[in-house]
Amino acid sequence: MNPPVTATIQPHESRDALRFPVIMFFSSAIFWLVVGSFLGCLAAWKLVVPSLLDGSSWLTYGRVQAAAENALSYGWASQAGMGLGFWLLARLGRTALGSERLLITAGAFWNFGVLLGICSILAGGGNAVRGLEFSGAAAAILLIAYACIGVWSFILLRDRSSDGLYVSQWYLLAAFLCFPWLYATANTMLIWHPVQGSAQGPIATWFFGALAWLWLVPLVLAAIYYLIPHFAHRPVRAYPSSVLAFWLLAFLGGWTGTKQLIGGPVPAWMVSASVAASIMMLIPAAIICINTFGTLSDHSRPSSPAISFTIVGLACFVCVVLQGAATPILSAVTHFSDYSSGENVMLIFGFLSMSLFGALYYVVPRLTGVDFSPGLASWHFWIFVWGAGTMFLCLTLGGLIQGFALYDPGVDFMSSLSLAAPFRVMNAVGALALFVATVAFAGLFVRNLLGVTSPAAAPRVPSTTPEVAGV
Amino acid sequence: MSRLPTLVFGIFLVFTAAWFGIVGYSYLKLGRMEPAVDENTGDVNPPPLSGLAVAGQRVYAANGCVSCHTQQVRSGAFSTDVEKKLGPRPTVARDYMRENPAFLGSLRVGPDLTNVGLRSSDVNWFHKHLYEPSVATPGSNMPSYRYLYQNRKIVGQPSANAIVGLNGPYAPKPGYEVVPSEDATILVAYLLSLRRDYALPEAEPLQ
Repeated sequence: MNPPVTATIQPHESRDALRFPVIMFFSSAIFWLVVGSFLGCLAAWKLVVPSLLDGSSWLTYGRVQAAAENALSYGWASQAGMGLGFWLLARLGRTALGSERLLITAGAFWNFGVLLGICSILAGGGNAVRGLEFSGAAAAILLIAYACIGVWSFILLRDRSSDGLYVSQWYLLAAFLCFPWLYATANTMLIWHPVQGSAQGPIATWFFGALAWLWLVPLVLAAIYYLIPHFAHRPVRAYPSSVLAFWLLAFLGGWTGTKQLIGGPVPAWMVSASVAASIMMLIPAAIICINTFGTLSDHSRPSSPAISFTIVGLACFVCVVLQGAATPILSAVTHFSDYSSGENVMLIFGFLSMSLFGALYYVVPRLTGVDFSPGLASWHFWIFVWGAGTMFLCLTLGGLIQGFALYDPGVDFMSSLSLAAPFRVMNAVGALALFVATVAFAGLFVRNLLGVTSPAAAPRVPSTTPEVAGV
Repeated sequence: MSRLPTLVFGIFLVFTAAWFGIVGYSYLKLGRMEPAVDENTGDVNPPPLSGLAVAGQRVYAANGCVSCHTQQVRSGAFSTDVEKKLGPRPTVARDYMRENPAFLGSLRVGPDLTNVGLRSSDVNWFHKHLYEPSVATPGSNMPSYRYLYQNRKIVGQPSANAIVGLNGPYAPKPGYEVVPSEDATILVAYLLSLRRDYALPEAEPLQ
């Protein structure tokens, strides 16, 4: 469906639809963002100073690192993405569904699951499977909470009063359908009733790739496809091609994970298929670039934190896809080195978090009726970009050097440690900046909820803003 | 394609492709392996793990060892793992049939542990390294796992299990001893079990 070109916003619709549950999902997401980036920062420092807080089993590096990753995936990115998803489904479908209470209860359950999962990791109940470290009980709670959320979202989509489906709705539907399937599969086969160890590697890497590409990435792309035409005040350029990008991404997404086992104990075709899928991912990425940057290009410079974050987020998306496609060229050196942590930073903080920030800067004022203070928001933007950029550059450069040391048979292992050490120090500084930026954002968010507004930003949304596309 | 059922069906199809391809294949082809029996010696490979080693996997998982240590000797033209003496041959799927979970890992912040049991069989060294890594192995950036140990006053006979040769800042004072907890004991039993020095028909020959 080509989106309608213009439509004027109806204030009551935007303000009231799902206001409370969406704000609740955003608040808890931001809470987990702060927790996750704190734990991540702590882990980065522990890597530099191993004796830091090493007397406590709860704070040992391996547990803190796993807790950080899981808090960011399930606490922050998933919840912020789901909150945006509800808002988008209600907006795009022009529906206001009742039974908000069910959604709020499900959200509370989800948070309980995340809390239990993080505590189980720190207490020593982790599973050592990437993205699945939550204890079996916590994973079950997440799935039960998700069942309500998923069914609820599906009904919201089905009962829409608008005709046709905009591409954001496609992405949301794909994400909401894939998540329970892949999370249940992975937990069943690896945690609740583990299959033989020889089969666990491919399943675990499949899950880790699919969690990103079939759950978090589609959620975020749905928001981006909604925001871009609103920023540019015109419809998406080459809109029909976005459908092709969607199908390619949905098809390739499940195949991207197993390349993490390059050279490993898996059939070679699995790695080849995954490498091929990562290279082919360039096609949907190119289309997404045309749809987004092409729509924005004639438009003015970034004028709000929402636009700045979204543009940087999209640039990071390009980087993520390019890194994936470059795997076969670089993997001899980069595999197992800090370089791959840099790829993770690019995905989680670069693409996912920045795009989510962009969307939150756009959506939250439309829920509360209060704009963000632009001064603090620009601090948030610059500190976050600096922190994530520093982490990415240090891990990538340090990782390449460390990778050469790990690759060269003439260099002993200890040299790889001392070569990587200075870069890891700078990475820890970046992680600290990132944590500060997330605290600043949390502060901004709380101020917004309390209705505190700076004199520079009179509440100008949402009453009269003309809205474009998809609505 | 803008009708909801069509879209749901399409998403179902594309998801199933990778799901069958990777998860289904792994489950059916890799998940039902039998150990190989050496015709000459009658040895079963990979050898069964001791009960202690099986229990030790839990401690390895709980403390996030997998965050920094891989357990795979890679094959292929671009891998130097065998040249770097990480093991006598690249690992294959069957090597992991007794592992749960399979700790393949994704980062080498610390050294690969696929064959750590071949590099040393000195139980005391493992405990020493876990208790004070930077003293036992100068240059190591592994955190101390001394919370898995008990620093206690010697009452009567000193324990036979007490770690010998500690000399870092957390070394026991005179009259005290550092004894491994049950978790530390089974963790070391697991580490010692990590040795892939047997041949498998589908694997490259031992070097």
